[in-house]
Amino acid sequence: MTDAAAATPDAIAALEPTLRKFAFRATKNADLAQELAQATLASALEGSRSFEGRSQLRTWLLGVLAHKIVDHLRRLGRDGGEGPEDPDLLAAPDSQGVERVVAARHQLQRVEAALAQLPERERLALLLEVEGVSREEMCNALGVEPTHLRVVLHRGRHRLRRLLEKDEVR
Amino acid sequence: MTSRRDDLCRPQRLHFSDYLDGAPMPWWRRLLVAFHVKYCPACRPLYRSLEATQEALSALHTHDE
Repeated sequence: MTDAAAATPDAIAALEPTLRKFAFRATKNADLAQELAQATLASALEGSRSFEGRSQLRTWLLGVLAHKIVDHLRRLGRDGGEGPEDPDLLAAPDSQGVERVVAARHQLQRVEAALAQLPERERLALLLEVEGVSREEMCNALGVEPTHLRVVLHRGRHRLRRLLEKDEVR
Repeated sequence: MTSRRDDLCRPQRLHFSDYLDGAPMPWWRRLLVAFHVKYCPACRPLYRSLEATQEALSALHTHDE
């Protein structure tokens, strides 16, 4: 647990690069990422009293940012949705599948490119999980119930796995 | 038409992600999934593939500047 007093303006502002990098991975648009990161900082500085210290300041800010990303997608008429259920998602890899995915471990760019092909909500959920955001914060940010979040993470992981194995990264 | 293998494996595969996360689940389900990922020749590589994918994802963790 973090002391709520940790949400000082300097501490919040220091996380701007982290927010901008996360927003870029989620949106693949540098200008939009900058805009969203700045909006998140502004919201956080105005509403720092709402940070109760139940989580790390970092994960709290990432949750706020994710919420803004989802709002942005909704304004664009995209609901930040996820992909359909696909029976091939659970299909076993071929004999080379594991080796290919292991190779992907060392190829950050391939993973990022594959991630960019995921439906937006799945991509956002996986990125939030990587950053250590709690399930509760993820649900708040994405506007979904816990059971739905499990489905989003499940589909996102399996879809990413298939993309990496098939080397369908464009 | 699904194969018998698909009928046996698919219900277990639906829980692989939760198992990987260590998410709460009934003890009997955890046991079934654990047994399946260890002994099923089709699902063992799939689960390893999922583990490798998760490990690849973890490399995206943003380090604060």
